[in-house]
Amino acid sequence: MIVIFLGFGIIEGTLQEVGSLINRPSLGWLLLPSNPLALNFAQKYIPPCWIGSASSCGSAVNFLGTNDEGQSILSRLMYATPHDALAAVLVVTIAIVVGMFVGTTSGYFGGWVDDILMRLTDAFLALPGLILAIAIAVLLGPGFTSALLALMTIWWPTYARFFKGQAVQIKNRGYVEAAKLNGIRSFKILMKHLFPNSIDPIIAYATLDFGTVILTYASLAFLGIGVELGYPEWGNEAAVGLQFFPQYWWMAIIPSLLIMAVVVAFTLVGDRIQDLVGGRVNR
Amino acid sequence: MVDEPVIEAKQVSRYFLAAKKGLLESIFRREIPIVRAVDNVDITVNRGEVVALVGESGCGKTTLGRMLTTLETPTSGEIIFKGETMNEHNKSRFRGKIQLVFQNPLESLDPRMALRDIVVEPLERMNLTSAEKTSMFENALSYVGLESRNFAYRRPSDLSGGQRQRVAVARAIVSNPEFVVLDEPTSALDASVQSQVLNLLVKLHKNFGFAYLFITHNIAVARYISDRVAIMYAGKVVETGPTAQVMTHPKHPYTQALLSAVPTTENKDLTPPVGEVPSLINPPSGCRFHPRCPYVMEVCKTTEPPLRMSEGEEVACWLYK
Amino acid sequence: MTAQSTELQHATLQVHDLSIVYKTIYGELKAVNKLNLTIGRGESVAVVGESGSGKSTLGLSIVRLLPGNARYSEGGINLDGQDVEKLKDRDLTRMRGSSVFMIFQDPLNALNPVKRIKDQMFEALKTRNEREGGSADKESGQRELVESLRSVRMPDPELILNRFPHQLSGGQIQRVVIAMGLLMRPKLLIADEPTSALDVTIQAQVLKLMRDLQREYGMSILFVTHDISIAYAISDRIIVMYAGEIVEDGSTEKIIRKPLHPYAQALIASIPKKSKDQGDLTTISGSTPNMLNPPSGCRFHSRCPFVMEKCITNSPNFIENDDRRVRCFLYGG
Repeated sequence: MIVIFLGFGIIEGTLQEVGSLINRPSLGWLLLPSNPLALNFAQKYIPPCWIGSASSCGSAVNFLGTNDEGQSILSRLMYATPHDALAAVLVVTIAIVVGMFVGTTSGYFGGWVDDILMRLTDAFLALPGLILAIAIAVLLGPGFTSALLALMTIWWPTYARFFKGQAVQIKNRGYVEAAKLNGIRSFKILMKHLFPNSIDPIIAYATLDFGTVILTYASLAFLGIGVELGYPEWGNEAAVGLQFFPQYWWMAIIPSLLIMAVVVAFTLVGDRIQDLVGGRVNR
Repeated sequence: MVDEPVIEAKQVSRYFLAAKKGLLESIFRREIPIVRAVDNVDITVNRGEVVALVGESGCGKTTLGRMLTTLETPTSGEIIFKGETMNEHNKSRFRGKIQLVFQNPLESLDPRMALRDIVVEPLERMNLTSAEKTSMFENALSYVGLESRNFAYRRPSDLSGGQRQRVAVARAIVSNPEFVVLDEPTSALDASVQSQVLNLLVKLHKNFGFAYLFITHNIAVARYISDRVAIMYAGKVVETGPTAQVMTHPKHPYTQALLSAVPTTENKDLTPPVGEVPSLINPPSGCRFHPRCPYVMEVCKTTEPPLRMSEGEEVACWLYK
Repeated sequence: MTAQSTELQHATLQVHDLSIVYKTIYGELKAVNKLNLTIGRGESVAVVGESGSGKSTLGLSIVRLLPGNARYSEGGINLDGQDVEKLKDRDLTRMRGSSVFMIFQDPLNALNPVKRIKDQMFEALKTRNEREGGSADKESGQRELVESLRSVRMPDPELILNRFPHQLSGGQIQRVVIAMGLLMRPKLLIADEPTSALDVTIQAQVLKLMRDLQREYGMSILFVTHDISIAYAISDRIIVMYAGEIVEDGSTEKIIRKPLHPYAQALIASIPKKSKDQGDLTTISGSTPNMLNPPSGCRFHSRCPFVMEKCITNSPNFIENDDRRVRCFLYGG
């Protein structure tokens, strides 16, 4: 499922980008059952296909029902996928990269470098993540990028802590000391010996983390933070859908279920990988 | 063997703080206890010599060995390599000339690197081409008795303990060092593999003539491999001299106790010394061995004996003039 | 106290055709193969072998402390008149307190880190009193604890009793463990490499202590080690194990002075006695066998300098020779 999610997200995202670049937005919904943005009042408020009689939903296009503007919820959610996929991958990757630099440097050098970097990390960790993300996103203004930046800012400190722990252990190992003894410069030691050997335990955790990022991102979208005008973010869809609850319950429930399903998928895969690889992170 | 020192330690000490000096300690001016891991030690290794540094756990031998390789800096005293004092600023001049072989074969090789890259790492600073490096690798491996064709791109996890130690030795010799410190290189190996690695070390020494400092707690191994031996106790060197002489006629009471505590197949009855190794934070006054010494005298309790020459050896004991 | 003079009725430990098999993901591994062993009362026997020889498995099997994937596939163990395998849990616990006591290699994990020494030792005392029907008030119990610490040459016993394990050194912990064992007054003391984590001088103290206690209390000792010099210091009799089998079994003096089995000879020869100027150290070619797929015939044949045709296909039985038994075709069979 994850492969589909990520793969589709990438393809769809590319289509959207290219589409907006060449000023042919219809490229973005090429792969979708229907145009997610077109107003279609004739078809509004259609419930998902498995409710009621077989023919009530019209066509398979509206498999998950339609919203108040007659747009297929299925199409809209699919359309929004790239944002979530991108958010997950980008935020976790940046968090790992930044966390790795900060944490490993801090752990390896110790002394005042360690003190400063760790105080910085602790400062970020001390503030409640979601609140901070909201604050940053609001400061940066609406839009996908500000949500991304906000998430990246709150995400890296946990990884920094982890990498520091790894670095402290690894720096005392024979091969690091042998490298020191042979005059290898510190930076090179970090790149060649410390980074590659710190990564293993983190892989399982990172997979789990993809799910958490998506959840957090959806939470932001739910609150209306970091959303672009008209773009059907999953979280936002759920929020909007709440207005029509409980009469047209599917407008709120379906997006929520989707979020949940994707997060659970990542969690399960991450757990499985963790069992296989045996990583451990102190949170 | 020319008596020309390759490396000398003069009045070298290494003190550690027993705990980190945090804010509270600074405010309340609490005294942090100091661990005197190595206390005012002199030691010399001559060109082409094998010196064994023998002692039990906590005696400071590993710390002393590391200071000689500049991995650690002495708190006081100096370390002189071929006439040049080593310090923070000129450390880099000695890279490649001093090497270290570690005890734990699992941890001394980077598990993510190919063996070839591990062994040629010391040659980093020497701008060699990849082909040149590979041939240096093959040479080094053949010297340590491993088939290089099979091994170049293997990982450490493919090898046995004994083979990993050989690779560690190959890495140590590839830069053509003049002085090699070996920190318990065979302690983690099975008995039969130990013999193989020791034979290898002797052979390399004969061929290349490096000076070795062989750190060990195993008396039999020290006796086999070394020309001279230095015995350490509680951070101090208590006796040094030609191996054969020290082993058969130990002068210092601790050396005598140590030798008679080693199980051998010659003597069934072991006569261990009484007591335990002292704390390095609050060592006994005067001679550190005095609470356990069967020949203790009044002066031993108050004044530390200096390391002095006596019949071809150096001993730190008031029994000898 | 010579080896073969013990009569079977008085034997403290009798192991008969014992085989232990481990189930691993790679297949079944026979760690111990049809092993026969007797230890008499008050006798100290050292089991010498390298890693993979099965010596630790043997020790653990006597007290039924083998890991979950091991099973007793053949034979039996008779300890102090009781069949170890058939013991029910309650009897097993009692046996562990009274007939046998085991000391392990790692002193750090031997004691409960959150209980004071005296509390742990009192437990041992209580167990023994329950078994023997005696009872002890706190005062006489305390006195007995101090006495037992003194008998293991522990300085300042009263102070030690009030400490926690992390405040003691490795050697002190091993001595506390031995003292606890002594309180229980076992017939057999099993020690699995108890001194390899200790300094040479402390090791000497512990070994000498065990010998003294053996003489004083008539305790039998089964001492497992890879170091034949330690075996010499501690035992009356030595058993050499290789690849799950006993290859030689005889009095310590005889085995050290004149080892018969080629493996035993190689072990003794590889002790570095001389200096490098006198030549290379003797090594044993090859490496320890893969116990998942042990060699055919005599398990040592691929590393034996005296190997003959029949060694490759046939497995030698024990030959009685010069007051000991050897498993080698060089001596007959």
